[in-house]
Amino acid sequence: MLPVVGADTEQKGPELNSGGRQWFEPLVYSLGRPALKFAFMLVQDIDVAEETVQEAFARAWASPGTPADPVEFRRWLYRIITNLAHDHFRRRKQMAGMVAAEATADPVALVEERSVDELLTNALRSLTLRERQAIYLRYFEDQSFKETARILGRPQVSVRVVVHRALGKLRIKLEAAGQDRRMAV
Amino acid sequence: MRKDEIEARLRGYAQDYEGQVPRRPDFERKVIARASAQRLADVRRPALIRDLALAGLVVVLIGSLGFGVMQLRSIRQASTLKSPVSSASPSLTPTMTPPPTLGPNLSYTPGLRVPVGPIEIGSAYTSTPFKMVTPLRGWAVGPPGKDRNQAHDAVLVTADGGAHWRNVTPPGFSGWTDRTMYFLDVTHAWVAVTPHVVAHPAATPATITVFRTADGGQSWQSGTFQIADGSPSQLDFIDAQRGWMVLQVDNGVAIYRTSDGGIRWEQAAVSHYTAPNGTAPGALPLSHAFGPKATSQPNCELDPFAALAFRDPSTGWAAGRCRGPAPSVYLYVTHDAGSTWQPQTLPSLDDMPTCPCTVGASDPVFTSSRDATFTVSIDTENSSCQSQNGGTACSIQPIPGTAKVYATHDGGNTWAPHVLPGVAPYVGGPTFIDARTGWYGSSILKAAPAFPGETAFDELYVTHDGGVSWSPLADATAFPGGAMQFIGPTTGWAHKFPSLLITTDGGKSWQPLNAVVTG
Repeated sequence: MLPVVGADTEQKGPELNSGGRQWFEPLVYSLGRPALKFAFMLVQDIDVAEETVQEAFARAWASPGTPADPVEFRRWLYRIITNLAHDHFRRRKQMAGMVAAEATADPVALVEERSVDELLTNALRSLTLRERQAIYLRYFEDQSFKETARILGRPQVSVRVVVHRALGKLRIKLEAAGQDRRMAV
Repeated sequence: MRKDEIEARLRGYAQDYEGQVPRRPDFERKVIARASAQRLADVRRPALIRDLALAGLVVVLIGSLGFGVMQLRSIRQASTLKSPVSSASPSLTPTMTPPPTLGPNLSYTPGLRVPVGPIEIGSAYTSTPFKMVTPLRGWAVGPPGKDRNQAHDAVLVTADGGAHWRNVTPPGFSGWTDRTMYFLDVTHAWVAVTPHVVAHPAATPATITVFRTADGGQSWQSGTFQIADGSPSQLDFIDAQRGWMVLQVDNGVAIYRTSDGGIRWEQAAVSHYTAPNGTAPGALPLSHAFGPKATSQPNCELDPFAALAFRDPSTGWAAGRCRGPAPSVYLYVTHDAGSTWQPQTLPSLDDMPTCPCTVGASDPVFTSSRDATFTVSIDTENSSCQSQNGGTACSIQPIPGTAKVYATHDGGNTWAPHVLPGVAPYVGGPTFIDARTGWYGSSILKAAPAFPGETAFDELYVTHDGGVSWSPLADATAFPGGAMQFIGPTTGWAHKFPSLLITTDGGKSWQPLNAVVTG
C-alpha cells in the first residue's frame, strides 16, 4: 500500500472491487474532506459538492488511467471535480429559471456566512470557475503556483495571471460592497 | 484596497473556511460504496484497434484544421476591415489630426452588447480603466466582469468629458478572453486578445489577435500572430506605429514589438523564472520562492499589467517588484527597443525598513521626453508558518510602509527619490501634468483595522516642485480617493470604483459624472 499522509487506517469501508486497487480506500479517507472543500468552493452548494466528489472518486476508481501515486492522484481527482463542476453549471444554465432561488435558499447558510466574511464570500462567488479554482488552491490550500498550474493543467504564468486578475476582481467587488455598506449606514 | 490586503484577507478567510463546509456523516463510506458499484473499465483495448482509431482521428483533425485555416483566412481578408483605415499614416503627431465624430451608426456591430443606461467604469484586466485625452474626449473600459452572462470590458469613448459613453468594442472581441488595451490619443487605440479555454488546458499554439483603430473607434483593423502558449497582459505605444506588448508565456514573460501600428509583431525578448541570480545577461530576471523559504529568498517579477514604458523607439523601462531579505527596486532599462535589459542605476534607499519586505515599482510615466516619474512602495511583512496537511503553510501579511516618487528631468539617466505623504497606496500613485505639478491621494493605516495592514484614503495633496514637497489641498471636497488623471492645471478625473468624478478647479471640488452608455 502506498503511504498516504493523514490516512485513517483504522476505519474500514465497504470492500472494493478486486484488481489491485487497495491503495484507493486510504486515498478516499485522506483526500475526501479536502476534495469536498475544493468542490464546495467551486459549486457553492454542499449537496452538489458531495455529489460531485462522490462521482469524481467513482470515475477515478473506474478509469484505467487513474494514477496510483497519491500526489498525481490528487491532481487527477481535482481535475475530474473541475470538469464535473463545469458540467453542473452547464446543466444549471439550461435550467436558468430554477437557479435564481438556489443561491439564497438556505437561511442557515446565510447566517453562517455573516459570521465569517460575508463580503468576501459574495466576492468569491462573483469569480469565474477557473478563478475560484486558482484562488482556492493558492490561498486556501497554500499551493505553489507550480502545483496550482499542474492541477489546473495550465502554464504556470497563465495561472499567475488568473490569480492576479481574480484579486483585481475581488478588490473591485469588496470596494464596491464596502461603499454600499457605508452609504447604507 | 491593496492587493496585499486582499491576499491577507483571503488567507484569514481560508482559516475559517473549514467551518463553513459542513461535515457529512459517513461521507467517505458513501464515496467508497459508490466507487465499489462502478464497473471497472476495460483496462486494455486491442492495440491494433486503438492505433487505427488514433490514426483516423489524426487524419480527421488535420483535415478539419486545414479547412478551418482556409475559412479563417478568407473571413479575415473579406470582413475584418469594415471601414479600412487610410494607408497606415506614419504620423507622429496624431492628436493634430481633427478627431472624427462618431455618426449615429457605426460601420460595424460592436463585439459586446452593452445595455443603454448607467454603466460602471472599470476592469479587472487593465491597470488604467479610463484615459481622458482632451477635456471632452477620452476612452474607458467597463463594466467590470461580475458574471459570465454579463457583457463586460467593452471599449467606450466619450465626447463630453465622461458623462456619456459610446460602445465601440471591436468586432470579434467576444469578452471572455484574456485581453489588454491601450489608448494613445483621441484617434488611436489597441485591444489585444487571446481566447482562453475554461474547462481544459489551452489549445496550443495560442493565437493573439490585435485590434487597432486610427479613427477613434469608427473602424477597427486586426492582425494576428501565434505563440506557443500565453496571453497578452500589457500594451504600450509611443506613437501610432511603434508599440510593445507584454505576454505571460509558459514559465516566463515575453516582450513583442511592432512598427506598423500593431498588425505585425516580432519577439523582442523572453525571460523565464529561474533560480535567483540565474538570469542570463541582458534578460529580465524573474524568480519566485514559496513556503517556509519565501521570506528568506529573493523573489522578483515584472508587474504583469504595468511593466513597460517606452520613452522613444529605443529606450524604455521595465518595472516590477521584489520580495525577500534585502530587496532592491526592480527597474530595468533597454536602449535597443526591448531586446536586452540592464538594471537602472538608482540612488540607494537610506531609510529601508527592517526586512523581510516587498519593494514595488510602477512603470514610469513621461510628461515630456525629459520628465517622468515612477512610484516605489516599501512594505514590511509579518509572516507565520504552521503545519498543515503534512506540510508547512505560511501566511505572509504585508504592512504598507513608505512610498516614494522618483523623478527624472534628463530623460531617465538620473532619478531622484522624494517621499510621498502617508503609507504606500495600492492604487492611485501621483499623477503629473508636467515636470512640476502633480496630485496625490495619500493613504493611512486604519486605527482599528479589520486585518493587519488595512489602509484608508487620507488626504489629497498637490506639488508644484516636481514631488519634492507636497501640500494638502485643505479645501478639497468630495474626493473619495482612487486613481486620478489630470490633463491640465484645472481639469482632472478620479476613478474610485464604481464612481467616475471630475474636477475643473484643480482638485478642490469634485462632481460625480454618473456615466451612462448611449449606444
